[in-house]
Amino acid sequence: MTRIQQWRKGLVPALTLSLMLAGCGGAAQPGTNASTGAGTSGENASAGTEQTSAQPEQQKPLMLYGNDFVDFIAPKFQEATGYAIEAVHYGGGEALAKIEAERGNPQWDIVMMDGHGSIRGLAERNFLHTGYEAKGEALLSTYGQEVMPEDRAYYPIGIHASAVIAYNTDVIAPENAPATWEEFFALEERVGHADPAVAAPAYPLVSAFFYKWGMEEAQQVYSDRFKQGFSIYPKNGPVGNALVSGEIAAAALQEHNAYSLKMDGSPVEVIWPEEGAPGSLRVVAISKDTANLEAAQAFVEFMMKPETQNLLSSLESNDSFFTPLAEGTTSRPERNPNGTFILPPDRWAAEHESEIKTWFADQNVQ
Amino acid sequence: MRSNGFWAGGAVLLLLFLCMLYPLLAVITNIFLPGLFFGEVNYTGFGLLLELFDRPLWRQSLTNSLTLGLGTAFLGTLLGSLLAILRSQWSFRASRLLDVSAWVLLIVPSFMIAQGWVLFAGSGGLANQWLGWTWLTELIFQPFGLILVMSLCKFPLAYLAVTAALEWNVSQYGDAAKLNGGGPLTVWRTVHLPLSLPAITAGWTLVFMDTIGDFGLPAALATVYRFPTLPYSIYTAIYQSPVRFDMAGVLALYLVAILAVAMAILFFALRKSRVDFLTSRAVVQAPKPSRYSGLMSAVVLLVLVVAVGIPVGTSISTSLLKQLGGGLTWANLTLDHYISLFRVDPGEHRTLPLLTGMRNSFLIAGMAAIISMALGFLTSYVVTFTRFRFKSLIHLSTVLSLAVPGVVLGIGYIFVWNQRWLEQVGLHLYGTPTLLVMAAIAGAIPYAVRLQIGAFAKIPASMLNAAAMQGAGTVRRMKDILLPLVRGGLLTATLASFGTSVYDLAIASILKPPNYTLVPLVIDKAFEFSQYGYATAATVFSGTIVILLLLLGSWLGKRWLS
Repeated sequence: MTRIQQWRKGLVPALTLSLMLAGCGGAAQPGTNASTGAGTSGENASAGTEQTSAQPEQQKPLMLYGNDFVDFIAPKFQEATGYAIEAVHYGGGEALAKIEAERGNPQWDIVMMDGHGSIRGLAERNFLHTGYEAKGEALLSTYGQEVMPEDRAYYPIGIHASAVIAYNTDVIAPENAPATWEEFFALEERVGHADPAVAAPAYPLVSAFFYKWGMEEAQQVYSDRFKQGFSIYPKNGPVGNALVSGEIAAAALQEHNAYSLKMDGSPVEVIWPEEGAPGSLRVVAISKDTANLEAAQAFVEFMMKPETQNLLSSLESNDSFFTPLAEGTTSRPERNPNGTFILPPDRWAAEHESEIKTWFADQNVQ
Repeated sequence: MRSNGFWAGGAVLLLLFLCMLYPLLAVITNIFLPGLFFGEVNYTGFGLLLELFDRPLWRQSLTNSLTLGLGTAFLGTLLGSLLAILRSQWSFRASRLLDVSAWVLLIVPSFMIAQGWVLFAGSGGLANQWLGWTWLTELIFQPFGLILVMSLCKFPLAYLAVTAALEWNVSQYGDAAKLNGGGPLTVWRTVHLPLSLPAITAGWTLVFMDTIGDFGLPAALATVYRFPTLPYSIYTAIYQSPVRFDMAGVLALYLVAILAVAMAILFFALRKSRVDFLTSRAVVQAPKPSRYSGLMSAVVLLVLVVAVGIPVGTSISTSLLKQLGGGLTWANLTLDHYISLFRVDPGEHRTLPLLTGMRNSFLIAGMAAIISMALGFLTSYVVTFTRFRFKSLIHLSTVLSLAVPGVVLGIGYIFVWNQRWLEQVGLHLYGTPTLLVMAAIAGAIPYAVRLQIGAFAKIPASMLNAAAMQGAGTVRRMKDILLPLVRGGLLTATLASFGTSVYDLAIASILKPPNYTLVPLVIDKAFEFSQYGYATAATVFSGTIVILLLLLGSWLGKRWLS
């Protein structure tokens, strides 16, 4: 829906509120292009995506909610398939809040975001279309097959480290740098990471440790760390700033923030522990109530193509720091090519999300 | 001879109900009847209300909110009142600047001020880098520092309330006290202080309410220092999975309860203020010259440098630096961030297009300002000149949006306006800019109403009664008597409503239609992704345009009025 349509749709009821709103009709300009609202970047067509000549029938554009890539990928998808699409960029928490608040009358068709636990939570509460077997399944890498759910409530398309160890080289000498997560939590200097109650990638980070060490032991590790000096920042951006300024000596920092700081010339070094980095799985899921099922499935197939994933992993922006999950894809050379992930099963992550976040938030203020 | 104001009062209440009360009630109802707005009836009781005292985060948030609210109300009111007394009693050069700065601070959203402070006083901030003031980080990022920053941001509310009350010179009471042998201190304590106490209390209450509901400033400062407040806990309840709208409702209910207590104090103060001290001998207070006027200007300038200069100056400096940590050198200066504001980069969600955002934000804020002005006019009429039965409810509704965080209202708007049956009757406003206009009205109403009530209070009811005796109807009395007398207040209310609506972040982020850019989103996204140069350039550029528009509006308005 274009802005003009949005204004017109709101205009009639608005008139009932006040005559003054009549003036906004002037915003409507006939002849405005009614194509995708996600931008008009048609000039740099994606490599490897075929152009469809026929215009598929749709009552209304496909509505995509998501965090990374949505603004970029929507025009590419429309160009390749002919389906009209609107993409709305939200933070992970915002997207989930909108989905829940719209429960009585869902406006979205597809959600694409990091955090398979939260998406599993939506599936458990009957928000998602399940059982659709995508043609692209055969294209998934071995790891991609492993993390694909049996009920096909979502499809995995990429994974990145929600945290690697990043340390300030002006504060910690390389020989004293922590190589494992246990060493990181035991550091004498102040350390920090993002707040799982606010930052979307921070729950995959915290839940990975709770899964790896068990609930009680992880609680003990964090309790001890809080006593020793632990800074929690709302999002990864401020964590990176605190690391560069020396406010904290080391951080469990999302990989693209960590690599970006290193590449910018900041005094930051990155360690990908051998035991693995907490993983954040990017998935795409379809709404149970979608009126655009065919187009939604076309979007899932589009996202699972190696060409699409290569396109995303070759972008210049920091978002391209991830491991694509289609066979025959490549990821950025700056990353650790052999880095592995700690990824709890989706049901475990969904089941413990509320408990872990609540415990963490309460612990954090004591 | 007062009318019962049934029609005017009913219309005001209906509009306030649609914009404020209904969405808020929707969120609160969701505490014990979750899913009601999704067509499910599932009564869960009120047990959740007591959890506030069980969960450490919530307990701490309540304590922090009260500490911050009370501390800021005390310090902000002290500062605002002292400056108001200085301004109304003596003439000095910086007085006009003080008035303008008070308005700038009132309009600029607190998250921008906070971001300016973080960039200045944070451990990697300009004060540390350029001046070597490492102590400043420790001073600012602790409870007293937050109260200090908050007070410097919110004192204009107290300043404007007290300035309005000191407009009239009632020196004869003071003279009488002096004649009876009272010293200056006794005269001030027994005459001046009691007369201005209601205004000071009103200022205190406004500062308290605005602080306790503020999410932007504590959240932005929390990037450096952790200080969870009630609005922060509401935010975490909404952004967790599964989403806890019921918890957010409980916390919002407590905020409303605190607000109701503050309002009760305000009413008590205003009731006491009905001491009819204005007589025919009262004249408009004319500031006196003083031999200390230079010192007064210096003190006021110092306050303004800290309150306005630091956050605004930091934003300007940051917008001109190539690299934040690169120091103040010629080689590190650039205009690139400003140039990039005009570059359209589709598909980039970190640096959204500012010009599109400005067009949308100005259109929405403009409509919200005009409607708020009309609603404020009608509300002030009902509250001042009628015996409408639900005046207290109107009073409470007009300040609710100060204390209830925008994100709660936003969720309420979705519950209320995203209903299937509304689609069938053509009233599905969710996903349209119209809902943003309504939300902006809710945000602007406290200012639109407070600024006009003051102007209405000065008009004797006898004028309207005389016109009524001559057969003039309500509309004619409003048009021919009230409108000409309060048009100055009307203009100020419109401009203030416009200024406050442009930067409403929380509502913008939750209610924006797909692919609809707004100025606060442009700035917030850039900050979120550490694009400080772009964020501050967008702040400075859009802020300058807003101020120019307000000055233009004020100039045109005054020409039209004269």
